[in-house]
Amino acid sequence: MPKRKLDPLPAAAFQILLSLAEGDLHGYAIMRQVEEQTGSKVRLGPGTLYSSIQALLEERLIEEVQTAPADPGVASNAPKDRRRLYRLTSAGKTIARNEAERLAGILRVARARKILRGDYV
Amino acid sequence: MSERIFAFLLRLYPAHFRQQYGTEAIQLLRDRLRDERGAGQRLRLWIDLLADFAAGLPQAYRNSYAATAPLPQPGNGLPAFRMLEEEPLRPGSVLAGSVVAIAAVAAFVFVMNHAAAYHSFSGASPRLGAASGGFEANDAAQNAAEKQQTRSVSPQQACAFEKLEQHPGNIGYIKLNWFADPVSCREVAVAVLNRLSETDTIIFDLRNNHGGNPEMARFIAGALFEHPVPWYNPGAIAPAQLITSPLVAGNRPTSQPVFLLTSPRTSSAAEHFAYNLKMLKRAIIVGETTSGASHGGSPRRDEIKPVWESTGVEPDVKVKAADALKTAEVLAQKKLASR
Repeated sequence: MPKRKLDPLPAAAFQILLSLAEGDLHGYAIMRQVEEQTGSKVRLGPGTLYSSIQALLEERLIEEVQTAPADPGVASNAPKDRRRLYRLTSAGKTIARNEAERLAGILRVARARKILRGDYV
Repeated sequence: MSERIFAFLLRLYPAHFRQQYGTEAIQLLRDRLRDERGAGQRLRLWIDLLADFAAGLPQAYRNSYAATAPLPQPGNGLPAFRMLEEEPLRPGSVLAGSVVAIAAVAAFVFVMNHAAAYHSFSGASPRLGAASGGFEANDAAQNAAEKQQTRSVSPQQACAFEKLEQHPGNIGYIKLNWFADPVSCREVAVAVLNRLSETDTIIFDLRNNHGGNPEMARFIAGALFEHPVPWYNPGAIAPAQLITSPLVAGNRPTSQPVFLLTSPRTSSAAEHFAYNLKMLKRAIIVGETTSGASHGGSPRRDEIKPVWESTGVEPDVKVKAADALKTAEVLAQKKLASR
């Protein structure tokens, strides 16, 4: 896979990949999911969000879901025709796993050097 | 209101980004506005948005939208132009373009004015000192100077009329540092002489004149006389060069008193000019004795030595070269008053 913009994987793109791991989401739901999974530390603005989505689409790490089914999750009262749902592809899953493993490796080192205290996983 | 500001900010994004995600981005903002209420949350929302513009805008431009954009395929071997920006120009772009253009023109004008000022300060204006001393050279002089300018890079250097000024008492002051080639500088010389005919007194400043072409000296002297007069010319190769040149067209300064300012640096053709006008009693020489060096280089052995060789031309009024102009001006005023 030719990787240009997403190598190394930016934090925002990684968070988006993680947010899509549990199911297909639209833009706003991705933003909320990222906010939730980072403990309200990261809130993706529209520019960052859609630029990252575009980059991920170009690298085929996520894909648009052709027919938008009824959204069971967030904001189900909004008009559905404007929303596009995004789905994690298998390539995206691999990239996200690789990135997580890379971070886990760093985490191991940090723990070995006793930088981390307490009961981090 | 927030939505309109956001929609305006969205226009900074690439056209294709807006096409693809514009409505979604606005929808996202609506959702957030709906969910986040209260002054604190709204403030945070806007801080988020502004930070997002700073971070997201460069990213949006880095993405290769062209790759995903549906492009018209060239068919049948016909050339097709691909446009990166598919939208017509927005009024904002036109406004920005005009502002930049006006700024560029203003900068150009400023630079040109600055260059002109530099020239007049250095006393070497191609307009024959029109900018200095309030002495407006007439149109003919300007035209001639401009013609010269098209012919050579620096006519003021080529023709050596370094200054042409009007001093108090309608004195025409001309600083001539070199007698240029009369073939190429005739028009400039005629324009200068025509202008000098409108003054009451003429002062030729030859204190820094190292010589030049004696034919130019004879040509200028010709304009100072009503009729051709005998001209002492040791280098003459034709009988016509033994009288002053009658070829100056237009008004000639034939009646005005003439003063020549000299110094020990005045040499060669300038001495030729000074000697003749002194002997013909057409000019009063003010300053110091000239150098007496008829040639800068080694003279030809068979050449007749001019009478001022090694002795120089004695001034009529002996003053220090530095005071020569002031003295000449006082003498000119006296002369005018006595008339």
